[in-house]
Amino acid sequence: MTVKPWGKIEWLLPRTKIDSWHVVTSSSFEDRCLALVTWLCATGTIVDSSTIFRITNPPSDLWAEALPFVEKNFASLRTLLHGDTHNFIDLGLLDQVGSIANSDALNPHGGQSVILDITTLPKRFFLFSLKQLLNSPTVKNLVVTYARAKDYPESALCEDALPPTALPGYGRIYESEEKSRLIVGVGYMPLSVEELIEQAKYSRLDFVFPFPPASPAFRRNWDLLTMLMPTDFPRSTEIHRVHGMDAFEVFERVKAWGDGHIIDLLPIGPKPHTLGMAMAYLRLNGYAEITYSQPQAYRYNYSRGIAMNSEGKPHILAYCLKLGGRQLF
Amino acid sequence: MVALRFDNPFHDLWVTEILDANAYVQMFSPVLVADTEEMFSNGHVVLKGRQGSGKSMLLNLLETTTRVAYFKTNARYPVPKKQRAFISAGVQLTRAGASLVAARSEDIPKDQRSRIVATNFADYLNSLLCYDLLKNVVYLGGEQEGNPDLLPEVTVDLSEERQSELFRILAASETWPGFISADCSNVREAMTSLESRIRAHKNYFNFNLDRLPQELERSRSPAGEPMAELAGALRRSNILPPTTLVLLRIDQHEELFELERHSKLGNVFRQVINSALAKRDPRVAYRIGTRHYAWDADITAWGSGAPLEAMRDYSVVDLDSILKRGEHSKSWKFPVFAADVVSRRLGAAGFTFPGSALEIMFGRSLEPSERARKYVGNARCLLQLDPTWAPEWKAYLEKLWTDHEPLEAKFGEAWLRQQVQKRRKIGLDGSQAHGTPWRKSPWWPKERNEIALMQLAGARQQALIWCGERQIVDLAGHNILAFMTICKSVWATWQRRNPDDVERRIALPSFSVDDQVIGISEASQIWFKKIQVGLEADQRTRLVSTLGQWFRRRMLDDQSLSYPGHSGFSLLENDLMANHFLVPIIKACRDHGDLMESQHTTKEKDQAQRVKWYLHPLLCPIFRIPHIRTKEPIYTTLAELQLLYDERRHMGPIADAPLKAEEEAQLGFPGM
Repeated sequence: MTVKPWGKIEWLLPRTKIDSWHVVTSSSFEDRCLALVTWLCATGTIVDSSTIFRITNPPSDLWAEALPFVEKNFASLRTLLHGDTHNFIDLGLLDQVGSIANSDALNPHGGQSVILDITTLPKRFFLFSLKQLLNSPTVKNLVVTYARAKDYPESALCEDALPPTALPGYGRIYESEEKSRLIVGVGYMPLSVEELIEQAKYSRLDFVFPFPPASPAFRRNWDLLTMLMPTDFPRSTEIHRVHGMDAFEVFERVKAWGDGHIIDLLPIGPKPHTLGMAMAYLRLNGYAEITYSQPQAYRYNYSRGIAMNSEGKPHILAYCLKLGGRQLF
Repeated sequence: MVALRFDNPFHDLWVTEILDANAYVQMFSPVLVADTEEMFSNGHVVLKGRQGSGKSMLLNLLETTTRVAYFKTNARYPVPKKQRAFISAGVQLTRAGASLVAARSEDIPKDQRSRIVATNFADYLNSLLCYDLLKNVVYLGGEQEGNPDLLPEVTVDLSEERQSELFRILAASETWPGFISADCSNVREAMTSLESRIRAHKNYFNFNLDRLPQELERSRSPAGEPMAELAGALRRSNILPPTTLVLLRIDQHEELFELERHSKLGNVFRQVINSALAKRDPRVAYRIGTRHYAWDADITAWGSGAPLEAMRDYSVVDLDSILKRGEHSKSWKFPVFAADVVSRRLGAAGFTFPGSALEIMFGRSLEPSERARKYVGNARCLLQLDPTWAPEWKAYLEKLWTDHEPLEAKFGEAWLRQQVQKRRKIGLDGSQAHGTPWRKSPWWPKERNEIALMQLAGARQQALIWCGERQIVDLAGHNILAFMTICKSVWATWQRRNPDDVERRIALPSFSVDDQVIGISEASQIWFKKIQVGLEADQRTRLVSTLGQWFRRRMLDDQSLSYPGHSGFSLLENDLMANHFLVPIIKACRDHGDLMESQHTTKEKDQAQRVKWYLHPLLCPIFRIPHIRTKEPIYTTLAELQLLYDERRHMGPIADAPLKAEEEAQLGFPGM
């Protein structure tokens, strides 16, 4: 039986039998950037050290609106995580990732057990950090966490997406004459990728659709799918319904599709799906590529609040990717 | 017949990416070849054009696989015979992952950063182009083994003796020792060695290696040098005939412009390419496919900093200029090009037809009076007659309306409102209420047809009618992608609305006016959505929305039809020098083809230099404004534009929200 070690944080974390952690997280304008650290403190989980990303967006009206929330949340994180072993990284949203290429930057105190909180960390940084931490011989245990938002506003969540390009660390190494298969993770925003989908000569087109979504997410996911689906789509187009939080399921499917083939991954859906795609990329030995359109501005209320689970606790999902030095996927 | 993936022959707008070489032969229109003769001659060429202008399609004509396909299908290769002695290799920068080249910049010491990144990029580019050149030589040699008559102007000889000679020459060259493994003794081994060099770069760019292998670091050379040496060696060793040109294609050069904007490395990537051109090495000739903004913004060479000189270092083929309507519309190339592209698409889909496909499908455009009747239908008179006008005038204009001449009635109403008539109190003089005095000058109605029609349609909550070959060509704004978008949407509309005809599909369809109106409206929405792709997408969308709605409001309010040119705006040239946040947005709109820019000869006394802009014609249907440019545009200022832009900014980031509201009001289509 294949073990898929993911679930609610309160279920998963105790099962790792690890007492103390190094936490990599980010301060953001979203309330939920505090969810993990608040939960860790509330449950008495020992956080030996931490690295907080403080990301600055390019100047815009939206950023001016968002900045006070970022500062407030940063101050809250610093209150919860204070002391010599708690540090932070200042980065521009569009900066190159070289400054975190060394795992020492992410984990300067050499913690063996790391929680990477991807909740509000932009994809280009979270995917890159994930690769660094997975490859780090120092890091023996790695848990990725994601806190769900209570809801999302109806309006556009972000603006001015850059043209789609390969994410740092996730480019293709091997070329082939074979036509690639495009796998799109469906979310809320098209992020300038319609043309990419329409233009390119893909052998197959697959949409990974988060399911079962809650209304109104359901409608918005379908709206985006309708927008992205070519009007007269290739006959080899399929929609694959995968639980929106199930990174391991996405990983397994993408890995199977990409085994021995050229694939392109376009993660504009939920972050756990992006995580699954990244895990698959790392197993596909250079034949895959993850492409993304990086927005340059986000609304300060990109998401609202923190979702609560049925027990009234913050709904934080945890994915154990490395335990005792062994990768679990 | 090409196996198209869809029933709609225009479905695939981006055929360059989809077609195999054989399909390319059927689809490629040679109409522009005569205007782009430089592409097949010696010397560097910069091929400029907006998105969808056909750059990649033209560059693909140089590909060896394309030439072989022409030969095998017995089709005439459109390049003049005397210019066919060339072989080409190329790189498409997006596909080659150029965007990742900068990824390692931050882990290089700041003082060496630009130099090392430039060196790595140059070597990566050199490796890709040299690999592709060898690949093309091997491919052509292989094809010629089976077909000795194939491409006689470029006979490839890959005999052992020639290959030994090639590697002897390369071993004595400046850049090749170390560039490939020392033990390479034939072309295939050299290709394998180059492949592994390319992979090393990619592994480094993707952080799979901490640093490049030392032997690679030691053997990096400036951009262009290994290609020039390889091209020379291929000729000297007689693998290629001594007169063969080696053309090196670099497509999607604008990718570098976008990369540089965020890499904090200045213009290093484009400068590296410029440095290859600056060498003026006659052994190779570059073909750079780019967009205007990406080339014009920096033409200095890496290292020397010296700017390239147009005409001396390179020549420019500007597809937009070639396709733009000039002073003499008879020599306008775009309609011929568009008609040919359509014929080839239809031919590839298996349609045969006598004469012009465009004429069969779209018919002739409706006369203004016909369109006016369609807008008005049997509606009661919607003129806004001034209560002070003589009863005879009111009765006369109403009669024109009820006699099915609503356009004349509208002209009459507007004419009476104009200052000259007001001054002469014509409206008060009932004895003059006869004839069509507004037609005394043929220009008066000609210049006002569209604004009058827009107001008539507006009064009836109708979408504007665009139909017929001429209008469809005009709406494309000399862009073939826009033109094909219209064809695709109209065809799709016809398929949807006429399922029985589609089933029969024996002859080329003739689209009804209704199908065309709906199809064009959809095409316009697609074109509007396209703004949301590319640089500064949301800001551009917001500006275009602001302008479209502003133009419409102004034109609807202009009851006397005094400003029929207010579908565009004009600014002082000096305003464009200002450090104002709207200036780069206006320029981005121009660069992406959302706005069409031209010099404006002012009518103002100060004679200050001005520039004017109009929306791309295909954006006009969505805003329901005329696409015709006539008379004077709106003279405005950046301050006024900012007020309008800010108003929209407060509506939220989705710039087309007001348009959606209009859609929800269930805008009617004429006659439906």
